[in-house]
Amino acid sequence: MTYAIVAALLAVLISVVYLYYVFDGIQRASREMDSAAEESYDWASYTRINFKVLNSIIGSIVLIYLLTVAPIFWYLVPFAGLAAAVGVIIAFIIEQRSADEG
Amino acid sequence: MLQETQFLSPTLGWALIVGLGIFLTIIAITVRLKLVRNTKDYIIANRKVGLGFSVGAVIAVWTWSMAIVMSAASAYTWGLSGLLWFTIPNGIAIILLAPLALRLRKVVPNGYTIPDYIRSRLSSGFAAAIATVIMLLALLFSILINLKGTVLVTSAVFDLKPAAVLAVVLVIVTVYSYLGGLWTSAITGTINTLLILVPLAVIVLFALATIGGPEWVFDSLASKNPEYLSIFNHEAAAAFGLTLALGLLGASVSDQSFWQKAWAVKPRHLSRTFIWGGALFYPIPIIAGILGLIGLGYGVSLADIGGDSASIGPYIISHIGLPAVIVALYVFVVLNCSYSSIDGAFSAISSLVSVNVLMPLFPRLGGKALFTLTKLSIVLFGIVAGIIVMSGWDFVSLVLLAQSLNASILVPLLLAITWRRTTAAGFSWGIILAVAIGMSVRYFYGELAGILTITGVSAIVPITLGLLNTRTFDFQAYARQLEANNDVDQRISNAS
Repeated sequence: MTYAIVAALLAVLISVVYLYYVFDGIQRASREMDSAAEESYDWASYTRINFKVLNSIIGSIVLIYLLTVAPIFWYLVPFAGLAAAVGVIIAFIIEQRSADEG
Repeated sequence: MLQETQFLSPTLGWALIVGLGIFLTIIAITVRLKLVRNTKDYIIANRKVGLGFSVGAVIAVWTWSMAIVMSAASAYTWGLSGLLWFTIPNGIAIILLAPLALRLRKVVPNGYTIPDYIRSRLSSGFAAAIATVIMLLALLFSILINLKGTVLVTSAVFDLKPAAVLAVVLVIVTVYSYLGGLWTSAITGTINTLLILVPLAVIVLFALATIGGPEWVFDSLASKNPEYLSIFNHEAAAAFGLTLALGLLGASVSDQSFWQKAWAVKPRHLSRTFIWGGALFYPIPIIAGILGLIGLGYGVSLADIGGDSASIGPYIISHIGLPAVIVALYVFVVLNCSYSSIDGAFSAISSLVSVNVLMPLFPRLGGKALFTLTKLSIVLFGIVAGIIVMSGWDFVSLVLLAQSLNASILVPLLLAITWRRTTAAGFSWGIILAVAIGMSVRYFYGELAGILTITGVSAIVPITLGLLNTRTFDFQAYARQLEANNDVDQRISNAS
């Protein structure tokens, strides 16, 4: 039950931060919609696709493989779900920084 | 020990369905007031969607309600091999969109829909019409399949009448999709992603705690059949893994919901949107799959769950003695999956109808009329989905038909985006022959043979006709031409 209670507490914390960034994202989008500035299509400066793409696929295979190794690893999976929510928060933060940098 | 079936109060079920709907509608109204001023904002969010909303929305759109129940069903049927074959192709299907979206956006920075790209790239209204029909059908099917997942779970937990659930869910999602278009879809989808990921993690940890921890399930699976604890069971791949992988690739590539986002997201965040979306999606089916493993551990038989393996997740949740609040939370997660996917489909339908149906059919349609009719198309598709579901059409046939149509457009579309020799005839006849021949093969020889035939024919026809074609297409000249004169973009930009 300890894992469930820890996850529930983390869930509340993550949800609050997540919703803050959603609200902030709406505010920023509203300001951007009012400005006439268009983003340039300078493709050379945008994210390249490289071998790092494979990380998530390999990571997920490893996660499922760990389920076959020992029951203790089963607790990892739900926490990976919470980490994914943190991943979306990080996406908002990256977007915010990239907007600030212009 | 599993408990007897005890349904939760139907009032609680309705409160969840309607309550979530009201919450999302309030957000939709806020978004409508703050962000949507014209048709362009409505169908393409003025191409100003940032990384946070695009990643959140991609995860939500791809997490169908059936994904939650089917991942548990795959684990229940095949053990961890089933879970692996269900999960990995699902994420890859999204991640693979990243290079395609980058390529397409470089060529057509101000695009709207895939059929519109096909029309101008192949100079063929016929090819565009085929792409429009297939994509609209794929979206309609995705709505129906999500409704099926919702009905399955609300029936198992609250014993709600399917027809009533379908009607109410359709009305709710139609209303809030109608309000804000792509902005609403992206923002409510991002909130849906939170309401899927976080509660699901907590629910499964409570489920594991209630049954005495994963050790018991692990030992039970090892004693019943050690293959359940292996990810190398080749039977799972042969039985459903390969078919599912091809079907999923077709489903993502043929889904206008994703292309609409590819054209709406800010260019600098484009590839990250799909790479992160696919990566962050991965934990969802793995977490939900644990419920299927618990079912295997208990030795639940197919007869116990009404003969449908998709029912194993809801069955376990409602039979292991979890508190009512956790059971309700599970239904809440499935409702979020369903609402976000249907909303994403509605938003994509509005862009297809606007750009590929209304604008070609009514070239003189004014901006206000275009905006109104675009929104009304959502209502029309909501009504059509309701009628089909109420008619009692077999869902298995529906899923198989959707998978075949999706698979038929996969290779022709990839070629149209990347290969200079692709022709309109190759694109059109590749799809038509693949559907005609592949569906017949599927009828006589089964699922795997059918989808392999569809994929094979849809590849051979356009490649053969392309090789016979002496002319090659100049993508750079095409991009310059579109930059100088994109009639669709001009018309939508001018529509206020």
